[in-house]
Parts: sequence; C-alpha cells; structure tokens
Amino acid sequence: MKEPAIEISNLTVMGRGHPLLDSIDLTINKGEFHAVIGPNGGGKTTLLKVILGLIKPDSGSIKIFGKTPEENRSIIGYVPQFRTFEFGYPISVMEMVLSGRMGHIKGIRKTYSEEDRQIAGESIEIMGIENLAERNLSDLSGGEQQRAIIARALAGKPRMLLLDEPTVYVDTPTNRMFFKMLEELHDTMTILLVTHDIGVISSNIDYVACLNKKIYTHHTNQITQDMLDSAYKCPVELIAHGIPHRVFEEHDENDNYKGQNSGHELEKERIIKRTESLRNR
Amino acid sequence: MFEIFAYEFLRNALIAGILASIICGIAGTFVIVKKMVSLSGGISHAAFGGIGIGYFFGFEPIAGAALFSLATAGGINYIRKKAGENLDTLVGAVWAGGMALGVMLVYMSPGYAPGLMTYLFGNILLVPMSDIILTGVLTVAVIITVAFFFSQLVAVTFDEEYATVMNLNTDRFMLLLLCIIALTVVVLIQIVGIILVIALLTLPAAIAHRYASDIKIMMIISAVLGAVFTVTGILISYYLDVPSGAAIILLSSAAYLGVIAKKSLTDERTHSSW
Repeated sequence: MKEPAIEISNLTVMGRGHPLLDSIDLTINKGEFHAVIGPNGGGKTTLLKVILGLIKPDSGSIKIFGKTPEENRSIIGYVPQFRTFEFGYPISVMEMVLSGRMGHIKGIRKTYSEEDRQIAGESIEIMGIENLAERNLSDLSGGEQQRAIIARALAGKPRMLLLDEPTVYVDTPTNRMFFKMLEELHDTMTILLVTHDIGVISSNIDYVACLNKKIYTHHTNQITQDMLDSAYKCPVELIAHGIPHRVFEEHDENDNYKGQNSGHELEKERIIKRTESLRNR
Repeated sequence: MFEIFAYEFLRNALIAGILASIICGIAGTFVIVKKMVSLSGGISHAAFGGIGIGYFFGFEPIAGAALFSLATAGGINYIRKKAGENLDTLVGAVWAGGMALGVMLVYMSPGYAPGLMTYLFGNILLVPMSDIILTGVLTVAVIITVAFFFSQLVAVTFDEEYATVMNLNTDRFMLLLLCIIALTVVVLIQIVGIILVIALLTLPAAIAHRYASDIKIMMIISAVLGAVFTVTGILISYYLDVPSGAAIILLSSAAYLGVIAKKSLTDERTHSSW
C-alpha cells in the first residue's frame, strides 16, 4: 500500500494575472525519488514554495503527509537555490546547521539543547564537512557551502527532502558525489529535486516530470520526447543546440567513470538515439 | 587632560556616548547583516516628521520622534513584503516625506522653534541627565530583548525564508528588529542628529563586519568602535570648539574608508605577487 507524502490536486498559482502554476496534479509517495525538470521561469521554485507553505495557492489543494504545509513543514528538509541568502553573514557552519533544528524547539525562548547540537553534528558528518564545522560559512568554497546547506536541511531530521537546483554551482566531481549521497539519503526519506539541468537526471531517480506552468508526467524515470516538447515548446532548437550539447558535455567528462556511473551512460545512449532518429527524419 | 571629567556636561556627554555606542553596536550589526541600511535611513529621517509634530502640538519633540519612528517601522514592516522590488522607492518616499512633514509643521508652529538645529545635527555636549537615564533604560531593554530572542533573530536575519519554514513568525521578529532600530535612532538623534544618525548606526558595524567571524563578536567590536569614535569626537569637539556630531561622523567615515582602502591595497598586493 503506497502512502502519499505529497498530494497536489488541480493546484493553480497566479502571479500578476498570469498562471505561474496551472492546474497541477502531482502525487509523490513515501520513499520515492522524484525529479521535476523544466525551463527557467517554468514554476519549479514556485512549486517547492507552495509545498513549504511559503506561497498560498489561488485554487486547488495540497497535503503534506496528510496535513497542510504549515502544519507539517517542520518535517521537510528544504535545500533552497544556492546563493538565495547572504553568505557574508558572520556565522559558523555549526551555528548555521543548528538553525535547522529551530522548527523542533518548543517555547518562546529558543535555545539549542545538547541534543540539538548532537543532531547538527551528525548532519555535518553525513555531509562530510566535520572538519569545517567551526569555520565561518563565508570562508568555505561553493561546494562546501552547498553541503552545509544540505546539512542544515538534514538537521531537522526530515522525512522528506526538497532540493532546488542543487547542482548549479557545483563542479562535476562534486556533482557525482552529490548524487551518490542522495542515493544513500533516499534509503530513509522521500526526495523531490527540481532542476533545469537535464544532464543531472540519473538512473536512481524513480520518476521524472516536466514542468512549464503545467506539469507533464509519464510515471517513469525517463524523459520522453513529448514531455520535453510540451514543457519546452521548442523541441527542435533544444535537441539541436540545447540538451544534447549540455548532456554531451557532461558525459564526455563522465566517460572516465563509466564503471561507476552506468546511469549516465544509459541516459547518454538514449539521447544519442533520439537525436539520430530526429536527424534521419 | 583629566580636568575634562570635572565638568558635569562633559561627563554626561561621555556617558551618553558610550551607552549609545552599545545599543548602536547591537542594532547596527543587524542592520548591516540584514542589509537594512536604506530602511534604517528611512526610519531615521522620517523621525523628523515626529519632531515637527512635537513642535506643532506643543509636546516634547523627541517623544514625537520616538512615536513617529516606531510607527514608520511598523508601516515599513507591513509593506516590506507586499512592495517587493518597489521597497527601495517606497523607503525613499518615506525618507523624504517624513522630512518634508517635519519642515512643514515646524514652519507652521507658532513662534521660534528652540533647539531645531540640535535635532538635525545633534549636540551631545548639551545632553541633560534625564536623557542619559532614558538612554540607559533603552540600552538595558534592548540588550535583554536581543539576548532573549537571540537565536530567532539570527535565524530570521540570516535566512528569512528558511526561518519561515522553521515556523518562526518572521514578520513579528522583523517588526521587533525594526522597533529596536527605531528606538536606537531616537537615542542617536541626541548625539549626532537626524541627518547623521545613519552613519553612526552603520559605520562601526560595517567595519566590524570585516573582522568578525561571529555575530556576537561583531556586536562587541562595533560597540567598542562606536565608543572610540564618539569619545574621540566629543574630545575633538571640546578642545577645537567644533560641532560634536560632525566630528564623530567624520572620524567614523575616515575609519571606514581607511579600512576599505587598506583591504583593496592588500588585495592588489596579493594579486601582483602571482
């Protein structure tokens, strides 16, 4: 029996008279790993913010583990888009990760307990940055900062992880490590990842959907041509210059790691076949 | 040198300056890390509208300034999210609008407006004992409030969106913060005057920001720097017979520019050593 973690039905969000999300239906069951891809401005971040209760939908309904986003968002680990906040803030990695415990502290005055510090320390260890725990956040490299942000999300002991463009500023080796880590986290929690970078979609993702105002899903982990066509509205241009270019670039580098990353290989083959069939038309 | 402590007015000025530096170090740190410099500038200049109301209706102008800047803080917090990208323009309107209201009301008030220049440019050498007590009470209140809500204030100023996800009432904490800024502004008006408040509120914290790795340390450094600037400014003002507010701000600005210049020079050297 599948239990839903996220249930979105017929959800619409308007912004300045235009729909940002248009009649979205999406169900994510517990333990699943979903990816939502789509162009910039397609509503990916808006979707995550609706799930977190930061944006109220104009119509439709949304349930998180059976309750409203506000009631249940403290069991969601949110990894916002990189550099959406101030990195010059004088705060140590430990203090920053501790702030991920805030949702679980009762009372008017919120002070971190020994248990909070222990959980924050564990999250930092999971992300492999324990040697940086006392360092200032602004002294870290981009990839290290990104891991600190994920550690903050894990500190809330979430049952679900929401990731917004997690790989944008991360180099390829870090990227690979990042997906390996997600795979491990996937054993214990539901994951929803949104990205415009189709190259990052790997085989351990259960379902892929395309989002461009409307959502297009085929209940598989493959990006099909008609999903892309519907979401991007300009398939030829993307096939000729956009996606393969990007994906080939990624995979040329990944060729050195064939054994470790068969998912990328499969994806590469898929896209080459697709491109060839298009050329032969 | 030590004969200056024999004068009560000078002693009062030094006490007021040091108290103001403490409250300023706390509020100014949040202003810098949350990038609220123009917001605070809006609140401090709008305070002149309150001074005008005080003159016009015949009550203590500084009480008018306190009420008006608190109301402005509340108003700005209310529209902060709704205004979005227009916030900058809106703050500009509040900034100039408050000043204009003050000018209008002072002009329409009957008779001469005593001490108007003091509110605009400050004169710490004229601070009465009652104001020092008020400053002391406000400073203690701000320290207690900030200490009590410290982890929440850090969470909200570091990443407001994430703080909302953590179920903190970010609007309420931002209102608290803006009210602290408004009260700090009122304290600072006596020392450097409305026009120069924003400099004393932000420059010590901006310098501290370059050296502090922790927000508490940043508060302490900026309070110490503020005290150094204020005390030195008061002494310069006393010995050279120049306006105290201007002396304090010129010192702060020179120190800030010096720190920036030093940094860019060091950076250049590291680059050229490649």
